[in-house]
Amino acid sequence: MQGTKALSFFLILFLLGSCAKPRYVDGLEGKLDGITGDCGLLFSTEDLCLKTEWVQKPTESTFGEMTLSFVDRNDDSRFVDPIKDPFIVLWMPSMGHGSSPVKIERVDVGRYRATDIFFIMPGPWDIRYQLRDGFDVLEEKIQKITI
Amino acid sequence: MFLKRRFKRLLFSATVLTVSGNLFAAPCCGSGFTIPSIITSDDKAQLATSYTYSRIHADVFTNGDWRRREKKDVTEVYKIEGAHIFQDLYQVGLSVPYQRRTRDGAQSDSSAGLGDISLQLGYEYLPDWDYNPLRPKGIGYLSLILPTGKSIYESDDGSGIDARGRGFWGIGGGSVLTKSWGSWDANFNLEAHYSLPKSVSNDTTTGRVTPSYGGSTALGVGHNWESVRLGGLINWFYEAPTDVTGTTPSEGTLKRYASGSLLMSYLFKSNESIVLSYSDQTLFGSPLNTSLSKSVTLFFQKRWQR
Repeated sequence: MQGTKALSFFLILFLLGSCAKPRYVDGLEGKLDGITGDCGLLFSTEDLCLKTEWVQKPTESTFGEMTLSFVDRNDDSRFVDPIKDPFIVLWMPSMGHGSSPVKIERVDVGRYRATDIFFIMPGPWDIRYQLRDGFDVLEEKIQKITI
Repeated sequence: MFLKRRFKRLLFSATVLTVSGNLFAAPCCGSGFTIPSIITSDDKAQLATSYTYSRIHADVFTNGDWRRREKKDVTEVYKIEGAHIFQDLYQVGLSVPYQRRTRDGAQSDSSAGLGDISLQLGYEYLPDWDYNPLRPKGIGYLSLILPTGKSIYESDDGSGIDARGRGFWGIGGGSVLTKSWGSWDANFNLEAHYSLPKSVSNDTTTGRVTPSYGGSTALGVGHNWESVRLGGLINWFYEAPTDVTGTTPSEGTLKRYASGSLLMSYLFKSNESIVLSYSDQTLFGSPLNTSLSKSVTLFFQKRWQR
């Protein structure tokens, strides 16, 4: 009987000591920013600056959409098509996997629309802006976000 | 006395098996490393079937922050498990899961199919034929995980809804220790595994994924009343970072979490038992880089005596 009481005491102590301590945070979609600044993201292989703007931020319920603008590094009023293919990868480095593919279509010279942007689970993600030649990534710039 | 002890051991056996069958579940990537059927009773064979309903409650980030999952993300697993003794102390086991995942939200969808099949070879290195009052019964095992379930790297649309496995060949080993004193019993499991790297190519990435090591340990206790057993168990899980090279190079972050379970077993025939369990991954430990689920399992087991 004494043994049972002692075992119960240590079990309760052990369980209390093992309790999780959750630190909940709210959804962070509202803090998703586009890429702005003087040059935004510089792709030095083509002397281009990339700026992005969210049209629709992705949530658990909706796909996201953004516009991409490539401008000359030395003249930000001149829109330029990159020679290589612009590509966006949504990547979760902590887990080692990506999300569903993002669609990119050319709207005008140097202007592209990215749609179907969706993060398959909350957490820290990379938005990887790439210039690709087939499967070869020639240059990549990474925007780190938590969603 | 012998029959009473045998009854308790049968209930105990069902409980150990129920919990071990749900060892690691990575919600983004299908079910992961599991220990297949292990015979911890004195029987020569056992066959079990189970149904698990699991819903993601929250996600934990790499910095330890938690975020509630607003949209429904449910995984149901139907599993058949069997094990058979040979040459008295050896046993082989097989576990075959069939999984359905349903998700609400922008990518609302449902998908079902085969998960990762696991095989096991066990050896009873600490037999307990004489019911020694101190020495536990010990069974060591080796496991092989077959990547029969589609992984997130082979997902048709990249959303992962059809990811029912980790996608890697896995080998593992571990040990289960069981012991009972009067109406109380206890069990302990320690397991380590290694998942083999593989090359992947899909719409998002082309490269090589290296998952590396993982492990888990479990500690459980139970109390028996005639044909009923009530038990509790905590499982701790650890998975080393998954690194990726290729078009999306990245260094992963370790995953860890703990799962607390309450189990009620009922032995309604001398060789048949049923177990109802509730598991909650939000209660214990210091989780990191994972999704946390709450789940209910209904488990039925039939055994054949030696």
